[in-house]
Amino acid sequence: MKLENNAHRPLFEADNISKNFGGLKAINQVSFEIYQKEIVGLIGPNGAGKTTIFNLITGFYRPNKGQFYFKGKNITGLKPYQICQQGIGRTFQIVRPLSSLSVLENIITAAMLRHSSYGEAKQEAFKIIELTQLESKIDKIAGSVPLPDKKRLGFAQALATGAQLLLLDEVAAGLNPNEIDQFLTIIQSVSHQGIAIIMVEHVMRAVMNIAQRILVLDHGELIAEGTPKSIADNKKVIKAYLGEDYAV
Amino acid sequence: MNIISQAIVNGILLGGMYSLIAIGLTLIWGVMRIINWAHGAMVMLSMYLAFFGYAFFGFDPLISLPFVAIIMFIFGYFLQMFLIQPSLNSPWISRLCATFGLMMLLESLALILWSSDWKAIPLNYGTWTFNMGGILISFPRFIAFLLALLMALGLHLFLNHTEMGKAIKATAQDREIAGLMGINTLQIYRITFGLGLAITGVAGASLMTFYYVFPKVGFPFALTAYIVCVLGGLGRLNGAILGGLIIGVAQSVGAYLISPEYKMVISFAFFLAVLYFRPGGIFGGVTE
Amino acid sequence: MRKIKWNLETVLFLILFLILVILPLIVKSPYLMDTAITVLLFAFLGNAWNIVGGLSGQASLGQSAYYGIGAYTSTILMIKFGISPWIGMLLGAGIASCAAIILGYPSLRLKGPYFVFFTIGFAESIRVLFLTWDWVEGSRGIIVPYETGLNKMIFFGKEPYYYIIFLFLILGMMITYLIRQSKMGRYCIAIREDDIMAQAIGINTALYKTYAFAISAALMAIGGSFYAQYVLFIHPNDLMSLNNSLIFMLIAVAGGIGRLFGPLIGALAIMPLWEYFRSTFGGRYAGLGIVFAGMVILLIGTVAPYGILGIWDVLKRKRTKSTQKGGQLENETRK
Repeated sequence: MKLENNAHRPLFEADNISKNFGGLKAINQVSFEIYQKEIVGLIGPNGAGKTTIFNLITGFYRPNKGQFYFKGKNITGLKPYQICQQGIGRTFQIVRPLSSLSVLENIITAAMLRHSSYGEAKQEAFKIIELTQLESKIDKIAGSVPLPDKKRLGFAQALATGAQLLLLDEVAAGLNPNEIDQFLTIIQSVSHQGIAIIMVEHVMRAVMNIAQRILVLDHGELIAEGTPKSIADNKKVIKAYLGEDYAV
Repeated sequence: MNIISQAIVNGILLGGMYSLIAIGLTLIWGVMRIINWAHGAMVMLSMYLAFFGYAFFGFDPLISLPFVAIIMFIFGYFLQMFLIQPSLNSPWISRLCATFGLMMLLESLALILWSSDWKAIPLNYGTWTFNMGGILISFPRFIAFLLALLMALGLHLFLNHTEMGKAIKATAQDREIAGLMGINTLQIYRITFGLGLAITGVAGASLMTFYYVFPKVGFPFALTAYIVCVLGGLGRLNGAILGGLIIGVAQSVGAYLISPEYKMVISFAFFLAVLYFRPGGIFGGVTE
Repeated sequence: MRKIKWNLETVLFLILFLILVILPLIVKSPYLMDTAITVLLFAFLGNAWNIVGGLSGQASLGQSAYYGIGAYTSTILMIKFGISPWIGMLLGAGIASCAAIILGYPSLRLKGPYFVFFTIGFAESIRVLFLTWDWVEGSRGIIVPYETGLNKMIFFGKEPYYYIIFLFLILGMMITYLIRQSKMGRYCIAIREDDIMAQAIGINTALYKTYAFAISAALMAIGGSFYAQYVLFIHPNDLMSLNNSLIFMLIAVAGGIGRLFGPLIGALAIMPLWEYFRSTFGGRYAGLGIVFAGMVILLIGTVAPYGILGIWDVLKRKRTKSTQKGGQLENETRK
């Protein structure tokens, strides 16, 4: 187990993670750290492996090599529900609301992880609803609300599980600029409460303005890491997205 | 040793029938995406059709066969259009139950119309057997097996080398993209369903050359055919064929070695074993 | 417990309850009483099925195995060891629960048709096991000796049976209600809606599915014990059949999948006519009842996927559309 010598230990650490799918190297020796209160963007061209990393962290896949550490504890190989219990929450690229239930019930169900009594879970749910500005939707059936609301619901559910690290998978996809800005404000207020966030994004507007740090993934490898500004000028990144010809 | 070889050969012949029924099933599964419990009733209907071909026109079931196939195709086409398609938005448990409802409806109607008496067609070649290296092979079963092979081959050629066939394959794999490619997916669903039932019709007619029909005859066939499909990977043609042969042999050998009652248990044990090692079926078919 | 809202629904259910309570006093024909008992028994069993099928979304077609295990356990204990079926019933429930936990384990990762087939397979295997097991009389079946007595749960008339199964049904429905209000209930619903999302919000889906399997099996077994003491003859093919499992599922879905009163409504809707045709006609025309039932179920699958209670909901919404804000469904007040 690695321990940082300085006082500020990483909240989360990926150490030399590799994953194959039958001969295809999907993720190759990826390592990074996430600190509390950080918003980190994870970008890269299609097929780079971003969602795979999320699936690996949250236990839906198991890495072939490497370890994950959360709050100093080795969480590699834990099952998805255990990862959530440890304090890592996630959203899905294709939203997965509990369709027949109301928005409120969706969030209460998620809150029941930390609050076994219905009453307490409901109180917690209302706090989350306020934070995520879902007040007007609480009685609507989750399956029938428009996409931006479903996305916010997924986010609220992940929050309600008491997560200290949130993995957001393309929350901006399918949203118009107004909706994106609204969402970003909510994400920032959540970050101020001390929750670390990793955002996988394709919509640059979403991630470049809000993240303090960017990780760039291409063909399963981490090819760059740095501030948004330095990444935007990085030749390797440009090459990965646009191909040889554009990297001057 | 000879008896086991006999059992294996019988199993292969039986397996051919299972494969044929399973092929029809797996095609339909691609369209419906749920277990169609009424499939056995479809086999039963085809068998009755072949029987009436004999009772009213004196046709050998193999002569009735093309007519049965056509009738079943039309039946399937309209069944899809009026019953299946409208229900696609319902929760899957309701649709699953609906297929049971259809099965109950068809079996009970058959019972009322044609009673529970076993009906068989007396054929002069019905009891012919020939000897191949010490193993007795029943002639009608052999013919049925050849037919099954022919159908499988024909289907393979159709799906891979004709416009219509390729459209069906594409739609089964990914509806949205097929639609975007300009394929009229609704029409394809109906045709696929009709085709699946037509193949089932061939199986039913073939069965009448050596078997008998009664209202509930279809169910055990369908159950086995389903296990075959799941074993081979739902939606996979090769899987249905290979799975059918494997289950046929397993049942036949198992019935000889253990006891005929254990047919279902053997199929099930096989099924479990395969699923444990390959959750998507032997060929890793379409998983949910 | 929530405050009961007094509206048309509550009144109707109260009337239904009252009718059921005084039924034996009005009905004297043993044939009709038999139908009534059958309806309540299947409502009870359908309710037990609903815990795995409707609440947790695991459409098991193997529940009849536990029905049989319950019947056999209490009967064997009574005949070979002289133990009262009231106790044998509880032991049967315990054994069935254990069996469900063991059998449930391999099925936890199976989805959709794979899961359904697995459940059919294990039920069939258990049926064949009992058929070939000499100690439980196998294919001969077991005749329960007719000696009346409360401790033997065997009675001369039908009324005591009626009230016992009615009581069981009420208890069963109360258990279902309590589960739904509890954390387990909510988690099972989440599993039904989306297994993967449930895992992502911290639900140990394997554990809760196992709880559901165990509780459902226990209730099934209790129903089986009742059946044994009522019909006084048990046989693996009568009890552990795929047919039975199907009926449990069908009446739950016909009434309204996942709804508390679903199985009762479904049983009331389908079983009486089915029974009527079966006993009145017999032979080939016995099929008429099934034709009817088949058509009802077909309609459920295509036009009314949420069952009879679903249709009721739709009618209710249309009636109150003018007074309600935007016609929203209230999931929590659904009974």
